[in-house]
Amino acid sequence: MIKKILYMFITSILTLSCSQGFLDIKPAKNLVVLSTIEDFEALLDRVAIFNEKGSQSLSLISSDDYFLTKSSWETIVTPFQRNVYIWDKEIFEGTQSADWDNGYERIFYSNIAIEGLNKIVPSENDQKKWNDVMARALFHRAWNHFNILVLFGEYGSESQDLSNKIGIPLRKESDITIPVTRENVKAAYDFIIEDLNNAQTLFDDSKYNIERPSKQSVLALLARVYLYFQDYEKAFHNADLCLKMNAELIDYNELDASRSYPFPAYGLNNKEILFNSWQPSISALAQSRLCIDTNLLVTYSNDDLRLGMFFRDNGLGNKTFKGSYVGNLFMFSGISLNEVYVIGMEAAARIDKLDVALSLYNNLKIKRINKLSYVPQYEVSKDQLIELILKEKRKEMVLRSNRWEDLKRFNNTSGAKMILTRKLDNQIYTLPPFDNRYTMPIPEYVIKFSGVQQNIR
Amino acid sequence: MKLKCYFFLLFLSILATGIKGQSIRDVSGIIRSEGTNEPIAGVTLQIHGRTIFYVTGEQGRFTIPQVRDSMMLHISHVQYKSKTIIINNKLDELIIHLERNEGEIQEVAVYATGYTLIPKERAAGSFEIFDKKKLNQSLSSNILDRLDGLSGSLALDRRAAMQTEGGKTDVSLRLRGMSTLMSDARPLIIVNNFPFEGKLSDINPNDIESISFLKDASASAIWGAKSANGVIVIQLKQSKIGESKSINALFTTRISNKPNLYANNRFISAPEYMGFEEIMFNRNYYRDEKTILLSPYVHLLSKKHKGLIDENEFQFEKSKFMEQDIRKQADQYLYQNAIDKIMNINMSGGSSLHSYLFSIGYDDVKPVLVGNSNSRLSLRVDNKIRITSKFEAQFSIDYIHRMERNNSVSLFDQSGIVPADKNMIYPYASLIDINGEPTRSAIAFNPFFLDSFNQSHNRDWLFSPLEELDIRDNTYKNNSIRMFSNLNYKLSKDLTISANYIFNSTNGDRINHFTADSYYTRNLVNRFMQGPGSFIIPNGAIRHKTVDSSRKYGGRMQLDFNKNIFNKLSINSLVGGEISSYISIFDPLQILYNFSKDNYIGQNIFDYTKYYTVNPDGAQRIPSSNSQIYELTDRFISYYGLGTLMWDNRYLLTTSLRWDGSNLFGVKTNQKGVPLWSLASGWLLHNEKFMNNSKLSELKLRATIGENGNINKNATAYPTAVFTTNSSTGLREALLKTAGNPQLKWERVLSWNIGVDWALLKRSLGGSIDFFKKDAYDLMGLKEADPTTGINPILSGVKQMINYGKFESSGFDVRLFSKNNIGNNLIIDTDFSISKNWNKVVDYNVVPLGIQDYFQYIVPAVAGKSRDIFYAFPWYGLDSQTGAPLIMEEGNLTTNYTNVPKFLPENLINIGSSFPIWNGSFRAVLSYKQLSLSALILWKGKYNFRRSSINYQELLDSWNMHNDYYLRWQQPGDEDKTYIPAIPTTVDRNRELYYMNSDVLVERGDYIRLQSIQINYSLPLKNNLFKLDVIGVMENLGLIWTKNKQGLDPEYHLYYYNPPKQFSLGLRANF
Repeated sequence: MIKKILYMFITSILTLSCSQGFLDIKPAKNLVVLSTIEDFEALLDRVAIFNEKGSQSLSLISSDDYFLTKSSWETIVTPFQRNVYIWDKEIFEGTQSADWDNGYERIFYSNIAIEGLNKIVPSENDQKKWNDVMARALFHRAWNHFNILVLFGEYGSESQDLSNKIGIPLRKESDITIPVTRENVKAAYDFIIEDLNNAQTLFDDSKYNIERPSKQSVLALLARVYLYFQDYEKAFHNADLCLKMNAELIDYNELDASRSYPFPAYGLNNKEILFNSWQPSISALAQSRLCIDTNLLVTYSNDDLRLGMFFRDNGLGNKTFKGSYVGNLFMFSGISLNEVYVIGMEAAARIDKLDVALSLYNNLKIKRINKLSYVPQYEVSKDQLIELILKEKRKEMVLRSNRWEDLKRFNNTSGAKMILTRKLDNQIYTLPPFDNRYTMPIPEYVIKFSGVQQNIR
Repeated sequence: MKLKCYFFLLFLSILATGIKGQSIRDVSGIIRSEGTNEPIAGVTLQIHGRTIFYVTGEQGRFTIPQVRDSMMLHISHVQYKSKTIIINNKLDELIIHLERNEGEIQEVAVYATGYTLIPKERAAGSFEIFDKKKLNQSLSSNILDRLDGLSGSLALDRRAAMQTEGGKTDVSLRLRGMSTLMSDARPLIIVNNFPFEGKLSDINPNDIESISFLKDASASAIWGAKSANGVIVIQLKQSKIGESKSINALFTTRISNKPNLYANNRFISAPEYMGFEEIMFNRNYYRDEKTILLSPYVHLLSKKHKGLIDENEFQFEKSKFMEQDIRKQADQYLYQNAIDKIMNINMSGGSSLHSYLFSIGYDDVKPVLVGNSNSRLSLRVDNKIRITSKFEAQFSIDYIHRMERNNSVSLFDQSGIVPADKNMIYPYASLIDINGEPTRSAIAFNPFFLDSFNQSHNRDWLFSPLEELDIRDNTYKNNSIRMFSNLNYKLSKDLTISANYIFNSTNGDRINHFTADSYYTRNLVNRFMQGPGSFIIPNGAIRHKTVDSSRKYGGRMQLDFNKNIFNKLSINSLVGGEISSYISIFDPLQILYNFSKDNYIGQNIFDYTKYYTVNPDGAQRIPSSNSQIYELTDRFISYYGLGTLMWDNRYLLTTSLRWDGSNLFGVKTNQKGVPLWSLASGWLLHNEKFMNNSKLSELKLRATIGENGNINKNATAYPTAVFTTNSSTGLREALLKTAGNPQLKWERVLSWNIGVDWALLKRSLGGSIDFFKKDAYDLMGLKEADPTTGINPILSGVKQMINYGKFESSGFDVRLFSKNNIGNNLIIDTDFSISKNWNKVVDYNVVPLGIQDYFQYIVPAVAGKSRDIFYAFPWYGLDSQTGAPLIMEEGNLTTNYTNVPKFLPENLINIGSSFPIWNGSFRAVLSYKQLSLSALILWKGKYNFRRSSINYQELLDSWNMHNDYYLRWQQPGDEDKTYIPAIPTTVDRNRELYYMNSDVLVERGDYIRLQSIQINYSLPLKNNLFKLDVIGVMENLGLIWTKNKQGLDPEYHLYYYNPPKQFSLGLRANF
């Protein structure tokens, strides 16, 4: 009897360990090890990662579209914003660079998705979805490498030997143990273009919500990258392909300038946005602080509707900015159709397709100027047209990160070189062309961890 | 399967109540003390030749069934001389008197571990036990209040609770300090022999028999992977077979005063506050924008400035404000004397074959805030049945129903009268105006805007605290059921097999009903209005509902082996296995618009995707129900064993071993578990022959070593993600949580303990000393990594958690007790407990982001430093010209604060500890005949706190006042008299950061507090079967001494007010 019960005891205790499945239950229902196409799609649909914290705050703060008064500059809490504003040699003072960190975090997410998708052999029914998700991941990897390259990489144009120019770390795999090294600009250029070309082939023409990149956003980004590298042929080619898919602009005549934010909130139903992304709030660019550059303001004609859509009085005699395409206090930093227009017209003009350039120019402007008074532009020389277009681009792309890309590029073109100046009371700061400070310093902690080369400033 | 189990248990309980003693004759009686005639509880009775023991209950009563004449009855009790009587005659009611044993006063103690009961003699580990008497020093309906001051080894950390009014919610416990960096730091709580995951408020303190602390590895390692923070075992009252019938009733009423709102440094007078507002108004600080809230006086100044009112009207309105003090009306309308009523009745009894206990409790708490209330109904049934002489079964069930109403309007909270983006209300606020009408004021947005909106839309967008108080309807109901069953079969004389099963379930509903007139509803409706009469959100009541629930089940099989060999060697051992699962579920918030309470119908079809233009500015979507259910599961399979050898009552050797497996995510099965162990030895010197003649009654040396474990369920082996639904795209999205760690392990704590227990002079004096050291290793820590890899431990990015942290803590616990019979029936009983504990981070290397992190109450872990270190900026005084704080930069004193956030931790001064290193309590009981008086005194030593002061930025932006404002620097020369900075010309966050965290505001926290006084009087009733006690308790009597010169209460200085004194009166009846 006793033996029997003891055996029973031992068997029942042992059965505990046999209940394998018992310990395999997930501790939280919403926790997953990513494995399906839908899982990776969900990973890339994370708005807080991919759309809400763009990597362009350094280029926005460096831009010459605005100025700050000494008193409002002094009250900026974050040191890097104060330093970047005056193009100081040292910027981060040991603090994090969100542009860098968030950008590489997105690349890490993209790599996880790319590697995960590569392990999946999709069924025929899933093939389209697999292609879409893979293409989105490739877009994100390229987009973020490009944004970081613009900030931290040396500038070089396509005609120069890019392998002599120092670039950025390229993260091609998610493995965190792979050492971080800086590669040259050629490698970055090739990698970005390769990713975008692959994405372009994978995408079909479907469009989802604007937080997801689409074929059109890939083409727009290709145009932007080629423009940055001064490959105007390809820039035009891609802009053209992009506009052929859809070229419908918002008619500013139909917007209400009296609203505190004339564009729809969070870009919802903003038909010009191809890929939606914005910056977290930047205190240097707060509405209460920033004053729009007066030289820029005077270039708008009185019947230019953008005056009312983009700017409002800040109560102290200057204009501040309210024209973000995400319709709130955050700065839009994604990709939009109006940008493809200006890229396309500049590239077209530079490769002597003057009539194409001019028609793009007029098509854009007619949506921006009071329709009762707009007179289309005809018959201008190539140089005049380029000048007109560049002026138009500044007016159209106020407080977009493209300005910094253009400034870096203009240093290397035959056009007029610009000396940027900042004034804080009597203190004048200047940024001459070709200055090393056009390339941002690598954050100190990255150098501490990985020993990569610092940029000379 | 589960269902079958219930039926079986149900069957047992029915059986238990159905059985009646069939006997030749039942004998019952009462045992009393010779001389005092007091009934004696806990007397053991045994019929000669039988194996069954009977024990007397509270009233000294017993019943023995199946008795024949001329049987011998042995009666014994440790404090009395044993007696044997022969049952004769036809006497059914025996009255037996026992003579007090003039020898030893035995301290009876049996420690409960949740697996077995260990008599104090056989314990080599570090235990503490607290019986009902000690737990009843406070009559609070909350266990936490009763734990406070029980022992120096248990410290309550109230710092997280400081920011909420009333705040008992976030009090955390530290049993023998800390032993982790990032993982759960709470001690494991055991109820019904299984870990208890629920809320302590679901346990009625009057149902508790005793609480044991398991402090070292020998005591707690049997709990394995959850035991690193110590274990607290709560033993609920149980019925005892053979115990005679007893009824115990307790009625208490506890009253506490309204809080003293005036003894509070958070206010300045209305004229001073308005003076400040006027200064800032003249400096053009207040922006007149639609979205910006202006206080009434700034609104008034603005009206005058705009020429909307003339000087006379201005002066008239101003003078009204000047006379106000919100505290007066708040005291009258928002606060009340708190009353807690507690009723508890419990009945127990039984026969030689079964026993029962039935307890019912009802607590009704009306807190100091008008509109709030809580109540708790608790039922407990416990049945034991002796099916055969070898087979015993127990079944108990607890049912708790809690109900909370949170309808108050607090003076200090944003849920009350404080506007959403502020921390305080201006001092000239009022609840009722001079006409006796409830005051209405703006608490969001610009009052100019609201006025014009209210007029043009014919709506009301103002807030009235008193009207709100009437219509709030926010209730929380919680039902909780706990079932416990135990089957016990004696296989042989030495071997027992037992099975335990528990099932707990809780279910809570929170329903917040916002009527159409409530501010919440009006605000939402107004925000979405698209013009006069154009509603987007219907102008009706809104109902929010959330549901939380949990289920726990656990089963255990255990084999106990107890044998005595040659009368010298006693073996006590057990082995067993258990399985448990705990699931908690949080259902999503459900929102219904236009809800009718009469027919329970609401509306939920709206366009939730559309961004509406909202008033006064911006775009928003209609708030919608949440989309996600959170379900968390905790599963364990464990094996354990415990063995104790004792030789000749002198030498003791104990060992324990435990293996745990859990459902840690993505860990290979062979790594899910880890064996944890302990080893202990003891030497009972007082039983040695050479000690025979000494005055020592007890001298026991103990030494233990062992390993406990701790779990961090946030860490995973594979890269994992969590799913959520994005509120703007509506799409499912995944967030990467961790980069994964294939080497994931449990945290381990290796602890040492050596101790001595002693008692002398017939146990009238005694105590214990324990020294301990805990080395925690393999602690989960964030690994620093180059963010370029994608890992970012500092920003809210993907984290990589690995087992690398090391932490150590050490200290000692001392306990001293004395029992002195002074004579003339006067007895003094004292109990003194003191603990010292300090800790150090040995290995950890994540550098925090900003200097501010060092001023939080939990500071960043830095290798080589204590986890409780207190940091401060060095103070250099005030500038003699401007009254601004001076700071040192590159060797020069300056008032340029630009670089303050960049100061390095090395520039901070370290001022000791932020948590008491010494923690002690002293309890004295003075008894004279039927009267006893006890007092509990708490002491904390060697720690610091940061007192609050005036922060001008918060005064301006959050309306946070401080009466240090009066003492501020006002003119050159003041810097010699005060260290409180002047009003700045421009408000500088960095300047405030420096001053608020400088060492000039750091005070020593050491204090001695009179926690409570209790008076107990047993009415001298003629009828000895009935006992009636009158109890009076005073609690929160305040500080006796504190080291800081400000007279601040270091425990409560950041609370909105000191906890008011409490007075309880109770009646306890036993019969």
